[in-house]
Amino acid sequence: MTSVRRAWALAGLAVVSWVDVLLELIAFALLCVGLVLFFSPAVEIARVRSRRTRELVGQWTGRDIPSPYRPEPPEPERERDGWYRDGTQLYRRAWWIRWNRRFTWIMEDPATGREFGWQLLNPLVALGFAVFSLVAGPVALRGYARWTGYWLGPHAPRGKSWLGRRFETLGHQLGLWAISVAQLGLTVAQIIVLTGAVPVFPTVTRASRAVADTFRREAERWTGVRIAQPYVPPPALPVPRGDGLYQFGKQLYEEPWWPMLRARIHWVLYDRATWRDMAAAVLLPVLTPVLWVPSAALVFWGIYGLVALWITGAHSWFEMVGLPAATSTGGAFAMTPVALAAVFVGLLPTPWLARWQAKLGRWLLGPTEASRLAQRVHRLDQTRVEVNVAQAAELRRIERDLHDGIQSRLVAMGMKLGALEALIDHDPDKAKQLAAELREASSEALTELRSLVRGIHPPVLSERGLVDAVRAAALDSPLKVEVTVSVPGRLEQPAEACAYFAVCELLGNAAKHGEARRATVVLEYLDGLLRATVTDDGKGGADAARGTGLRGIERRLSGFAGRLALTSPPGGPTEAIVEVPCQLDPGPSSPKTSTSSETV
Amino acid sequence: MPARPRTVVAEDQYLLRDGLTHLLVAHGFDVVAAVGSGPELAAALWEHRPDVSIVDVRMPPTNTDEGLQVALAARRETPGLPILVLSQHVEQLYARELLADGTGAVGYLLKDRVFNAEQFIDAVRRVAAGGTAMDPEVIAKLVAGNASDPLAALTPREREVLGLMAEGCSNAAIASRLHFSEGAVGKHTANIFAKLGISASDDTNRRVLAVLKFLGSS
Repeated sequence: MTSVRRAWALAGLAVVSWVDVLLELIAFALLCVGLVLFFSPAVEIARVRSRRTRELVGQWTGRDIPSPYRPEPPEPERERDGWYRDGTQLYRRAWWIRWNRRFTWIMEDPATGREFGWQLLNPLVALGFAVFSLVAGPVALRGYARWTGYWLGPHAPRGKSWLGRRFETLGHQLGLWAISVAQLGLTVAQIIVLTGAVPVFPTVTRASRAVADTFRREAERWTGVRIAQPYVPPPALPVPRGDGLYQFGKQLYEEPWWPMLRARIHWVLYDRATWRDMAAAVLLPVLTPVLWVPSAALVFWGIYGLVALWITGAHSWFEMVGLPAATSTGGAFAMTPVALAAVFVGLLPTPWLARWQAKLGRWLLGPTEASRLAQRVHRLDQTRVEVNVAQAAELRRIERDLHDGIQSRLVAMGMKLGALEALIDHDPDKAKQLAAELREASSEALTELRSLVRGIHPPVLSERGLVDAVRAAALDSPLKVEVTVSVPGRLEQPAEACAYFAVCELLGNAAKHGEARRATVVLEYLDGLLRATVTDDGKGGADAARGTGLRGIERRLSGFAGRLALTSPPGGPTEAIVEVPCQLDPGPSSPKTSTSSETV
Repeated sequence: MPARPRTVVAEDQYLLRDGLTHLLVAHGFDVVAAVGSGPELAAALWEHRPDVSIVDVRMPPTNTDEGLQVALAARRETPGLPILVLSQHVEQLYARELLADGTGAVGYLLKDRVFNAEQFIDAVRRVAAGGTAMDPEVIAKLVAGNASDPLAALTPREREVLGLMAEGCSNAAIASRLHFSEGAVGKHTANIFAKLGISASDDTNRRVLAVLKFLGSS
């Protein structure tokens, strides 16, 4: 009898879960009109009921259903300055970051979709089992446990089937088309403000660009066709002249906003990408349907035909395309392969067509050679400024260290020497003591100078080059570091120094923040690219957007068009790859070559 | 070691070369050659086969580690050729390379150790006699790092003794530095050799091997 009672209790719980479904549907509808805040809380509320069901099933049938969800996202952490940081954005409060993370967590979890399917079907199934339990008792309860376990338990991720993949690409094609239609809407808005309200034009253009960027991003995600952004970066904030006025062109302004607006209007109006975007928004919605309408029509026709032949019985379906009507069951059997073939033929070329659709998008939305050059010039400008700033800061640091440290020590030594001269005749003992102090002081000054030199350019680096300098750094590191090398000789010296300091910083980080015990450094040089890979067994969680040291590495690397790639999941391990494009040093001053792969 | 050890000084800065020569002569060394570049040093070592050489790491013509390279090459040719390397900076990497052949009679010191003439001359004599003289800075870095693996078995006291041994101190010197009897030092060193698995041969070489183990364990 207990099993019957339990089956009915579960059925009751199941019926209540329809309330969750209703809430989720409402939240989803709100999400569709832009009210994004309610969706993930609705799903989380529904999860409470699923969790309860899992518990009860586990208690009553002994069939434990483990939780299928991915691990929860970490709580946002407050920075030292009291702000919360998400990427490059600062927030006063944590809730938005928390919500954002939970939203991504829920949306990307495949368990969410399965759970929704379960919620939808479960009341009917649970009631069925409850009725069945009146006859079969525990058997029905076990059956229900199996059914729930299938939907709510963890699933190994599996690849999509041939058919699933093709249906998906067809969906992607439709999605790209829908995005381009949305862009068309914004382009119409752009044209309207251009004729009537030019000051709003930059704002509307930004919105339109956001949609175009969505197209670019999704095209890459869905089809692998990469479409780079063609835009010239926005103008810098206006800087007042010496007299406190702001200048734009030949005009002076007292307030900064008007020149800023003019600069922004100038920026979007004279960026050719604006006009290319608008042209694309007009052309893409018209051109791309050629690539998916035939597929979609065939698939629809085939599926509609199958439904007609076997369910609704409208046997005249084939007359639509001039085929003889199937008036009997035999005719339906004969026509079924035609319908299936229509679906198959419709789906067959979709991946290829989707790529073509994206390529068409790239042709219209991608950067031209001119905009690529403009972006490159801008980036070079920026890195030049960064390099200059970094260099100036470095010089200031050296000057300060020399001035505060060694210079003042030498002055003190000079004064002591004066005292020594005075003492040497009438108090030889005191003089001897002073001489010993002086020797000590000079030794300290040397030590300080040595560490300063090491900070500017380590002697091993100039004596032996990158490979041995890294080996020496590995020996000095408190970690147990293994160094593996395949570098065929000395490299350009600035690049060597850059890579050396990057590796040192990474090893230092691993020891200081990562709590690592071991690390490996792999130095490779291939086709004009020096790559240093530093891996440690620490606790991970390093983030280039946060660490000032990592930021320093990036700044240094930017001067060489190099890059830093960091993977550091919480819990480790951390792997950092530093890449510096550089040439082998051809000079005769490189007496040694070392082609080796050995460990220290 | 002869009464007046024949010495080669290799240092590219004239003032320091001159100063070193005077210092050595004043302490009873016979400076047979004072040179200022790598090739000259190679020639002088080949010609004089000195009882001890004092060599700067960085020298012309490359101004990289020319001096060290010449010294290592000479020691490959004549194992155990006593060489004391002086440098503006000390690196474990270089210390290892010097000690790697395990024949002893090497030293590696910071240039400013010359300030304390007595200790410096003592180090030169030790190297000339086949011992080692490692800069305390190299040793300090090793002791600071989490010395692991073969050294894990050593007690802190034994590790301290090994550190001083690496600097090149004799048993008597270690005894006076750590304030215990020479016999106790002998017991400690025997323990260290046993724990590091260094079998009995002549005492100097065993010390070098122990130091090598020490350097290899960072």
